[in-house]
Amino acid sequence: MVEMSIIYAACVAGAIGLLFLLPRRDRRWAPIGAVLGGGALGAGLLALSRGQVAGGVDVFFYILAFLAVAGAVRMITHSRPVYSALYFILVVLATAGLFVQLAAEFMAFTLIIVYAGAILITYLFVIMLAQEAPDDQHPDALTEYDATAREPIAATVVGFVLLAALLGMMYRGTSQMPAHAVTHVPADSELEMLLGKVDAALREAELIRHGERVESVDAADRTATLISTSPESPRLVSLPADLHVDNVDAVGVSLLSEFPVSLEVAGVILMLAMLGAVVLARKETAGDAAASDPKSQAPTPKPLGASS
Amino acid sequence: MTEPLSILALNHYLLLSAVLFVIGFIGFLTRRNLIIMFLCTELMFQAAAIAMIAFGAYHGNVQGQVFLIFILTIAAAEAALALALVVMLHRRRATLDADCWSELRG
Repeated sequence: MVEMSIIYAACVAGAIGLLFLLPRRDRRWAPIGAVLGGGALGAGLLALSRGQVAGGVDVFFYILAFLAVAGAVRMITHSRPVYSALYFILVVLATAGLFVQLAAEFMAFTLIIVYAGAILITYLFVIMLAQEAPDDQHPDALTEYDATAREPIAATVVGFVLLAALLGMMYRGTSQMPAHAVTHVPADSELEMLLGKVDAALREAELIRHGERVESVDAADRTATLISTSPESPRLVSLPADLHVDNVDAVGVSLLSEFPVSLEVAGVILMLAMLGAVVLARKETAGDAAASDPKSQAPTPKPLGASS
Repeated sequence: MTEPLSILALNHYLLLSAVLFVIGFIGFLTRRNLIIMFLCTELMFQAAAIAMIAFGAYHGNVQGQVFLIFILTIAAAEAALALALVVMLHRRRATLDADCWSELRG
């Protein structure tokens, strides 16, 4: 197992490199740490491929992986929180590029819109609201807790032991898996549920007559059954050759046909989180104190007949 | 749908995922700023997302991507609650240092 020893050695080098990079007052060792960490990442990737050309991995994977890891390292080592958040946006963009490589375009754009567009901007708002300088004379000075790391040696050792264990398990596990999964579904089988899409495609290709509608679709034969009130109904037409299920269709069909309950639960979780955030973050106002104080409440009206 | 991913390519994506997860983990342990600690948990979510999508591509189906939608939901809920907590704590002590709250230990 030569490649496993290379990967373990790369873990040790990466740990030392990250240790030099973590925030501290003395930044002299940071360039050495960067070189060690980058070399460790490259050695790990090379040990995996062992000179073979892997299908589905090309030069863009290496570029995006380098961007993601470098952005992540810079994110946890930069001592200014705003820059950390900006480096995390770089990680999100690199991850979105990797998703495009894996033919998951919908999730790539969702990631950019939800993560980089919404969640990270919320983080930036809170960082800018909560930022404080240690004193008024040096508004650019770092606060003590941003400039120094807590237990850097112990955390790095624990983290890289975890990484070595994960990679060892991964290498042993994936070497026992079949080279290609057998659960591969036939192409375009979702078309049988997307009658509206088939209808629109047939109308565009002018294969459907006035008054007809799509009754069912056979994805294996690539035919559609059309029904109408005319005597030759039902009628079989073949689907246009360029009609395929794209990524958004596939995700939508899977989400709504296989996981509808999870979708509902996700909605409930989002609503509860919104309520929880409002309850946690709102300030106690004078009106609240008055409302919870029984003496200051408006006097209850006396029952009728009691005054006489 | 394109060709399913080979084992070798899957290994590459899983290695990247593990490295990102461990970097987020180390960041969570070492940084003392509360906001950065929560950013590091988001980084660990990203690592899990890469593993999901890579396994989905290996199996040639979209269930990994559907699961990522739920991961994004949880991440959004977590960010909202965590930031509300941070704002509340900052209002009370005017600092973001996690060590200031060490008397919370059990």
